[in-house]
Amino acid sequence: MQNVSETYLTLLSGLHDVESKLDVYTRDGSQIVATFDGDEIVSLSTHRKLFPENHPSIGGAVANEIDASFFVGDVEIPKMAMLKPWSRLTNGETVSEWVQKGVFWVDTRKKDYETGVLTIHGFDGILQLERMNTLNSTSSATLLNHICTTLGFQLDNRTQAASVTVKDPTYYTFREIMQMIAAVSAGNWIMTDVGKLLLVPLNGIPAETYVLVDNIGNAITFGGDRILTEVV
Amino acid sequence: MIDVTLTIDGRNFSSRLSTYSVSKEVSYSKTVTTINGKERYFGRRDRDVVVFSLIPTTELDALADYNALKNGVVTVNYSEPHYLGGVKRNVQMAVVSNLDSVFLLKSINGKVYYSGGKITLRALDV
Repeated sequence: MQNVSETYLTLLSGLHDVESKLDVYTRDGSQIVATFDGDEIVSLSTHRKLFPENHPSIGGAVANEIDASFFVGDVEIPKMAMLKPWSRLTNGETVSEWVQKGVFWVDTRKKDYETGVLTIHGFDGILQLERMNTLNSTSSATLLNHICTTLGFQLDNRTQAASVTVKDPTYYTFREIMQMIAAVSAGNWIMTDVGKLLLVPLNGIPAETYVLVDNIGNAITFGGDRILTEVV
Repeated sequence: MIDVTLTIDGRNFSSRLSTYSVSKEVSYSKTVTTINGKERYFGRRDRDVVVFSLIPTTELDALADYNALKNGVVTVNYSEPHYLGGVKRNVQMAVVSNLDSVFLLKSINGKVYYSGGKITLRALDV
């Protein structure tokens, strides 16, 4: 979860519009190539999934996806370019800060030469885990460190992976090793909106409550007490 | 008399024109709207549209005019002020007016009378 400003939360609780932009970087993210704003973006959407199937499970490492179409102009989008979509809220008078909505890499692209609109599809860093491991039997912590160092990823500091020894991981991909670690940790891997690897434990998903909340999830209190609702 | 040229499938209407106009029908093959609602248009096409009406005419002329127009797609020579040379020749155009409402078809005596309505021709090509 990202920290957002009070302005963002205030705008979110009222009538607001969402503005978007898309930053395009070189593959390694070291250099920005172009920024496309709402006057150039035709469509922009991301698709997220925690579980590999349509029911709660563990041991998953599912890649998020992005679909975008925009007027590319004369900009040359590099092969496997890194994409960072952003969004912010506005009510016409006040504008929030830009909030990052993921880190993706271009997988496929198609250009309409009549309109100049480029349509791309991409995946987040989870797909880059499809690489053969070279380490021998070692601890999960060492393997995670090796994977992150090799791919240039960072672990989200909320990640609490089980400490186990992974035997004979040589013939497995990074992704399969991550899935094993997720399985013994009773969780699933995702890539967060700021592009860090996070292990989401199954018991870390908030329990359902009957506390009355406003439309952004804050508990509504009465005289300082939370209000319970009854399901009939 | 209006000083323009209008022949349809070889029949000369020039001397009997009451009103005459040539306009461009503009269309686009694609419209793309961005998420900010900004529209961009692509593939502009300008199509000539000729609209004319005739002065009161005889039964014989009305029948011949009707016969010249009834085929639906006709070959037209017509004045176009913005066209270099002034007259476009051998242009395939569709008769898009409802001829039966422009020409009165009298089924009792089998004759055709021109009722004074406007006739619209629309170019097939752009």
